[in-house]
Formats: sequence, C-alpha cells, structure tokens
Amino acid sequence: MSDLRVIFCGLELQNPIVTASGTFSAKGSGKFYDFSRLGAVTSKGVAIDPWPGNPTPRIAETHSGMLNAIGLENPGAERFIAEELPLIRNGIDFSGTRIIANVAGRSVEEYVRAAELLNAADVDMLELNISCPNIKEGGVSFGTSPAVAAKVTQEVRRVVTKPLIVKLTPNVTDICEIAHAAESSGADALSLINTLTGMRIDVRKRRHVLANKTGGLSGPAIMPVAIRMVYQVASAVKIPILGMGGIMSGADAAEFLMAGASAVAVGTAALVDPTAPVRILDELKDFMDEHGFANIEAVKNALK
Amino acid sequence: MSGVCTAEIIGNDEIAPGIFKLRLRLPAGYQRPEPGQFVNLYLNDPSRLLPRPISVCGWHESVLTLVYAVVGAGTRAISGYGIGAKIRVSTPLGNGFAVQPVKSCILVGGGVGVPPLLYLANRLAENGRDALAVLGFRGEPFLTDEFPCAVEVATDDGSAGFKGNVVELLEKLNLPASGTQILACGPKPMLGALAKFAAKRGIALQVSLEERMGCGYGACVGCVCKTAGGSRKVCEDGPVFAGDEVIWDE
Ligand SMILES: Cc1cc2nc3c(=O)[nH]c(=O)nc-3n(C[C@H](O)[C@H](O)[C@H](O)COP(=O)(O)OP(=O)(O)OC[C@H]3O[C@@H](n4cnc5c(N)ncnc54)[C@H](O)[C@@H]3O)c2cc1C
Ligand SMILES: Cc1cc2nc3c(=O)[nH]c(=O)nc-3n(C[C@H](O)[C@H](O)[C@H](O)COP(=O)(O)O)c2cc1C
Ligand code: FES
Repeated sequence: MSDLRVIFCGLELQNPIVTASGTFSAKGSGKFYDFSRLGAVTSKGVAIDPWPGNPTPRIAETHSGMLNAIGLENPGAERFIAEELPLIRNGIDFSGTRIIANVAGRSVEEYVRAAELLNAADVDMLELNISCPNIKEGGVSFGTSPAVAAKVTQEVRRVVTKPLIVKLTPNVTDICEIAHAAESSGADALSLINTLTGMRIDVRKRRHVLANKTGGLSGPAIMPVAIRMVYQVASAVKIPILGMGGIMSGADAAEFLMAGASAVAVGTAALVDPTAPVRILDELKDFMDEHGFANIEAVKNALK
Repeated sequence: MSGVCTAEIIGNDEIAPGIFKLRLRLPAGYQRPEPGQFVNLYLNDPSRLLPRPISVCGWHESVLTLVYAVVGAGTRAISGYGIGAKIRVSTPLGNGFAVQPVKSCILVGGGVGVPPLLYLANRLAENGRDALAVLGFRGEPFLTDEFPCAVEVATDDGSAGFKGNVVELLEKLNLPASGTQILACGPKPMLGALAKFAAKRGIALQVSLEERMGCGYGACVGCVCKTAGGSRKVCEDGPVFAGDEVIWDE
C-alpha cells in the first residue's frame, strides 16, 4: 500500500488531490461524492464585496477543453464565511481534509481586505488568484507583471498568518519571472496554472459564443502547457507547487507530480464527471501500487 | 441522492424530423425523477467535455425516456448511438414544477419544451388531476398524441392546429384566470411573452428555463439567470422558477 500523505506549506494533506477553484461547491459536489476523502478543497474566488459576474452565455465547449467567463460571480467574503464555509466544514467533519479559500480582488486594497477576513475565518490556507483584472491599471491582470504580482503578494502577506498560496496566470511571456516575484514577496507556495485566455466565434450566427467575448480555456487541451510551466517553475523556486490544468485521470495527476508539483488540483474534469476528484484519487493510488511507488515523494523524484 | 452512472441505450428512434426519443436503462436504485427535473448526458467522445442537459420525459422501472432535438454536434452524435451502446448520465438534477392545488393546470410547451410537459401531464393524470396542454411547434408536431389530457396545437405556419404561437392561441382560448395555473417550458422569448400574458390576467405561472451549463449541479456558476431575488443558478435553484420571479428584459 502506497502512502499518499504529503506535507504542503507545513500542513499535512491526507493525499495530494485538491479541487480546483471554481469547480467545487459543498452542496452540489457533495451530492456526488464524499469530499472528506480529498487532501483539500478550494472555494471559488471570494472577493471583499459581492460581484455580479458576467452576462450569459458564460460557458463554451472547445476541442478537448472549455471556455468560461463567469466573471468571478461571488456573494462576498462575509456571506461566503457565513453560508458556504459551514457547509464545507460539515462535509469534512473530522477528516484531515484542508480548506483553501481562493481570494479575488480588483485592487490591492480589495485583496488585502478579503484576505484579512478569510485569514480570520475557518480556513486552513489562502490561495491568491492574481489573474483578476486590475481596475486601476485598465483591467490588466495583476499576475502579468512581476512588480504588480510582488506588490499584491507583499501587501496580502502582511495580513495573512496562514499559509499563502499565490496562483499564477499562464498568460505571460516568462512564468518563472512571476514565480520568483511571488516567492520573494512571501508566498509559501504557488499554484499553476489558471486558465489560458481564449475566444470562439459562432460562424453561422457570426457572433461571439461567450457574452463576454473572451474566456478562460481549461481542460485536457491545456495540460501540456501546464506540465511545461510546472516543470519550469519547480526548477526555478524552492516553495512547493500545487499543479493543475487538464487533469482527467490518475496518470495525469502522476504526470504533474513527476513534473515537480507537490499536490494537484482537479477542475474541469469534475464538470465532465461529477465524481472526478475521488476517481482520480483512486486511480493515482492504483497507479502507485502498480508501479511500486511507496509514497508521493517517490513519484516526484521519478523523472529520469 | 444524485448520481452519475452508465446507462444502456434500449431505444433511440426518430419520432419527427430531427427529433429523437432516447430510452435508457439505468442501474437499479435511482429515484424516480420529478416532472421538470433534468439529467445530464455525457458524450462518448473525450474531446467533447460538457454535459448535455435534457429534461426527463418519462420514467418507468429504471427506464428513463428523453426526447431531444438534433441541434448541434453533440445531439447529432447521440442520435447515432445504437441500441446496446452505453452512455453516462447524471440524474436527477434540478427541481421540478411546484404544482398548486388549482382546479386546472395549463401546460404550455414550445418545441423541445414539450417533453418535460408530457412527463408532468402523466404525473397529473396519475394523481387524478385535470389538465390542458397547449403545445407550439415550428415544424412537425411531436408527442402530442401521447398526452393523457386534452391537447391544443399551434404551429407557426398553420400546417397543424392553430396558425400562430402558443400565447396567441391562449388568448383565443380565453381561459378563466381563477383556479388556473400555467406550467411552461420552451424558448425564452415564448416564456417571456407568457409571463406578460399571465401577469396581465393574474394567472399563476411556473417556467422551466434553459441556460448553457458547465456542471449541472451548482459548482461552476455558469448557468445563472436574473431573478427578483438576485442571480440564481438554473441547474441548482431551477430550472423551474415562478414566472413573476424571473427578470425577462435583458
Ligand atoms: C434544463 C434543460 C433541459 C433541456 N431539455 C431538453 C430536452 O428535453 N430536449 C431537447 O432537445 N433539448 C433540451 N435542452 C437543450 C439541450 O441541452 C441542447 O439542445 C443541447 O445541449 C445541444 O447540444 P449540441 O451538442 O447538439 O449543441 P451544440 O451547440 O454543439 O452544443 C455546444 C454546447 O452548448 C450547449 N448548448 C447548446 N444549446 C443549448 C441549449 N439550448 N441549452 C443549454 N445548453 C445548450 C451544449 O450543451 C454544449 O455544451 C435542455 C436544456 C436545459 C438547460
Ligand atoms: C468554471 C470555472 C471557474 C473557475 N473559477 C476560478 C476562480 O474563481 N478562481 C481561480 O483562481 N480559478 C478559477 N478557475 C480556474 C481553475 O481553478 C483551474 O486553474 C483551471 O481551470 C485549470 O484546471 P482544469 O483544466 O483542471 O480546469 C475556474 C475554472 C473553471 C473551469
Ligand atoms: S451549470 Fe454549473 S452551476 Fe449551473
């Protein structure tokens, strides 16, 4: 029997499988599987105030992938803490499953205020989504400039005592530059990748498929990009990586571990198969048993 | 409990041009869906990830009946699945119609909004309830002769029944407002017009909405609609909503 436990940012996870932000809800996902079996669950993006999100259609199918333009619709940190968080906590009971709160913002101050509230709430770690558009800089994502990424990480770090994960956007020329900026500004870990910006046109209707025109590409179509980025970043930083992007199977999860991730998150797969996170956990376990891996560290060190 | 399972196709027949009746045998143990609930079908093609939401049209001893129109690549692929083929399904999803204890239920359907109303009509008949179905079609009508209650048909070109849309037909039928509830499913413009019609006459209305879905179970927040009570998820809070709750003008 392989040992699936991992230490991530000083906390033990019972296994390396985590839900990716925006693809899990305690009520909905809980109808299909027991999420107390997972290493951690991640909330959808939570901002200091409620955000209305984008008009519909927000979802489009692409070859082996999908585009989403949810626009980070969320009820705001206070309602998240009062309503969604207790549902997550109830679902994990006395298991070792960790709770990660994903933090969104449109300015550094908004990030800081949301992070402060969430740090004081019943969560184990914070994940800073720096892919959000910066309204003070004309909507350019915080995560595309090393200086801005460093600034927001530093300011949030000041108010956060819990482990702080910074989630990187892949829509950059040099991911390692941003990874360094986050690491040197106090991030305890990095998660990558967020979605790749994409767009589709319905040629018969001559219209954009998404009301927002552009959206984030996720799913198996992006996995090779994610694997490459995790590999590059893992060799550039010392802090651990939560790897994600298109994981559909236990073998895919193992691929991220071999590329250098310490834990992995399952996103789009849960839309294709509502039980995907626990199925992938079982498949990873089987893969490790079959190939004689005693623990996750052994998988991480397996790449020749 | 909702669940995802692999079902066996035991029927997949074209019942009108471009309209198919799919019959699926589910493993034992799934609860009987409520009228207005839907299921997600997952394609047997790993390059097409998203679920196809389809309303329940019938249920008998773990056999689920769905009626779908071929509109795009996914439904075209499903129409090619033969008997004995397997397909993944998650069921049941969403909430059903909230039928009031009124004297008469008017079931108003347009196009592929008709199948869930057949399931509702059968449930009402089972419970000894009176109903009238008012069904609109752009092309050849389907399922109309399977309804266990009185049926009025409208077609855009007048090739069958009334020439015009269902709201025009309802106006002509001049139904009593008291003791009546309208339960409807169809394209959004039809439902919007129906909401105006019902509001003007003070008739209670329930509508089943459609929206693009990512998950179908409340996780992705892809499928929202605007309501008086704020943004709601069609898959989890709906697909059935009170007619006066939905904000129609966008
Ligand atoms: C709650 C609900 C119940 C439904 N019940 C029925 C039914 O009983 N019978 C029936 O024929 N149709 C029904 N529909 C519509 C049906 O889901 C779409 O026609 C179908 O998904 C189209 O798939 P496609 O691959 O052929 O089209 P494509 O256009 O190739 O699909 C691309 C993507 O868009 C989505 N999509 C396209 N049209 C719609 C639509 N109208 N609504 C939601 N998603 C859409 C698809 O699911 C897919 O993810 C229902 C929709 C909803 C939301
Ligand atoms: C519908 C949807 C909503 C998402 N919402 C968020 C979010 O709120 N915050 C965030 O950091 N990432 C969000 N993401 C990105 C995912 O967490 C993940 O980084 C990305 O989808 C790649 O993984 P995947 O291919 O397994 O989905 C979302 C993705 C999807 C598909
Ligand atoms: S489709 Fe995902 S929340 Fe409704």
